Amino acid sequence: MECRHLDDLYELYLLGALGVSERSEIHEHLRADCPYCTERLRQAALTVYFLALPDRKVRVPQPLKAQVLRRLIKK
Amino acid sequence: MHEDLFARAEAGDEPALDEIFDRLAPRLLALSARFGSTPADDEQILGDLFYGLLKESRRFRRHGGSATAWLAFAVRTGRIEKRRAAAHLPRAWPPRQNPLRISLAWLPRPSDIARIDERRDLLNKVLRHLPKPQMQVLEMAVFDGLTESEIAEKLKQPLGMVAAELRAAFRFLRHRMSAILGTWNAGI
Ligand SMILES: [Zn+2]
Repeated sequence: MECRHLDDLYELYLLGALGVSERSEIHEHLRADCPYCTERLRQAALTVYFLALPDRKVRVPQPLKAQVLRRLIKK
Repeated sequence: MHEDLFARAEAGDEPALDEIFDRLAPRLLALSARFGSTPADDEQILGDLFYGLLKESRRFRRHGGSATAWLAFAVRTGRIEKRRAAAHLPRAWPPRQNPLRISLAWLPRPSDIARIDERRDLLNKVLRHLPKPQMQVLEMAVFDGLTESEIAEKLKQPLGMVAAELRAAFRFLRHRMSAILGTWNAGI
């Protein structure tokens, strides 16, 4: 597959920031297991991960944790 | 974060689940709060997320993908779609095109995610070098969950200009990150 024209788009694809036609094009490559696009997306995902997941933490109250874990274990 | 914890949690090991929760829930809630969630949403968000994690963990571990990365993307994607629905905007991805559903082969490896977390201070410094207009559009894409054309509309700027700023910002970050993180992109 010809992919180099997509080089600047992988981060924007993962962010959901592309227009329909560019998004669909990368979607097709990903669906077809295109090795070039998969590797580029893996790199782009690192940048998006860094940008999106903050260093900041929110305190999780103990009862909330207990409730979530209890339900999870039941399932 | 030891990824074998996820394998243990998947097999029903409660202490492993407990440890994953303690390590990741506080950051994941901080991420969802950036997308407008409130403490009243927290139980639902964490419940869905950890349920999804246990359900999907075999799938992404098969590809060697990081569970931490999966969680971060799952939170962000879920919150964006909620926020966009509330604002009457179309979905960021049609359900079947959500990248987390198509393939998980693109998820970063645990060692690369660990390296990012170790070098965050340095990476944050890099971020500060982005010109203001690039930073502005970057934040709108990352934290407001807007598309390029929605950003252009909001800023009353031509789409071509916004698209160029975003691409330039990511080109800059991509190069700096590959330098800071070492050889993770060797071979391309
Ligand atoms: Zn491709």
